[in-house]
Amino acid sequence: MNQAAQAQSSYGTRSSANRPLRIGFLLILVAILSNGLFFFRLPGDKAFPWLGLLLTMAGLIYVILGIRQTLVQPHARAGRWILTVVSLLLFAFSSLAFFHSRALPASAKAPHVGDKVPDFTLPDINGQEVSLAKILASYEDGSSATGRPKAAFLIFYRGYW
Amino acid sequence: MRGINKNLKELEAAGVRPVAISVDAPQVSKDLYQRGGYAFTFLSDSKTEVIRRYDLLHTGGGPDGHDISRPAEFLVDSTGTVRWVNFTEDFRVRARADELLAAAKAIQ
Repeated sequence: MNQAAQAQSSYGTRSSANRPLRIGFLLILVAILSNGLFFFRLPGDKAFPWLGLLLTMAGLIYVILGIRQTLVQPHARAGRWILTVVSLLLFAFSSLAFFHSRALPASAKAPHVGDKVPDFTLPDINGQEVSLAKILASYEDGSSATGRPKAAFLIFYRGYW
Repeated sequence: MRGINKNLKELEAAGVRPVAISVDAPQVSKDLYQRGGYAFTFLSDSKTEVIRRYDLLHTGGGPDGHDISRPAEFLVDSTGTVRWVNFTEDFRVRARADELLAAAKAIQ
């Protein structure tokens, strides 16, 4: 074997030894970046958290395979361990984000279809008191819509921070 | 809420008036309203009275541990009756304007 071929083959071995770790890192990274998809409110977005979790778990499997390969190589470079640690941290972040996003109260006593909701009065952004009855009586000031709305769409949201 | 705001004309044409409710103070909501270019009503439930009455309180759910509302959406008709609800299982997933329009069209 000439020198060039030897270098080629040793490069090939090192590259394939790195591969599971790199794949694992990339899968977890894609899982985290896929959170950006939620902004687009695409059809079928209820499946996105599960796809993200699937990518994260698949990533972990590859990272574990990568660690196994690193362990049998006596002279693994430090960079490989750094990538392993970064991948595991990203894995922890991605899986915690999944469970955090789903840790919501059951809201068993919340109004359901067919229930009458209680009227309420709350201040708007200018401090003006607005009741549900008032919301159902007309459209927003400045709206082109006229008459009485058929329905109010109450959006309870987590808050702006 | 961006999706709702983007489809506001179409929603209003279908007879729907959207209203956003959170624990944020009016000034905080005003900031979001202006920056986000929203054109529908934002209400402030700082004392979580309405949020509690609707059983939506997420105790300690805020970033600094304060109580907030879980995400939830209700389509309430002119008699005050709920016609459609969405309690998401994941706060990253919210009601979309097309789902809401379909529900609104069912109301006569």
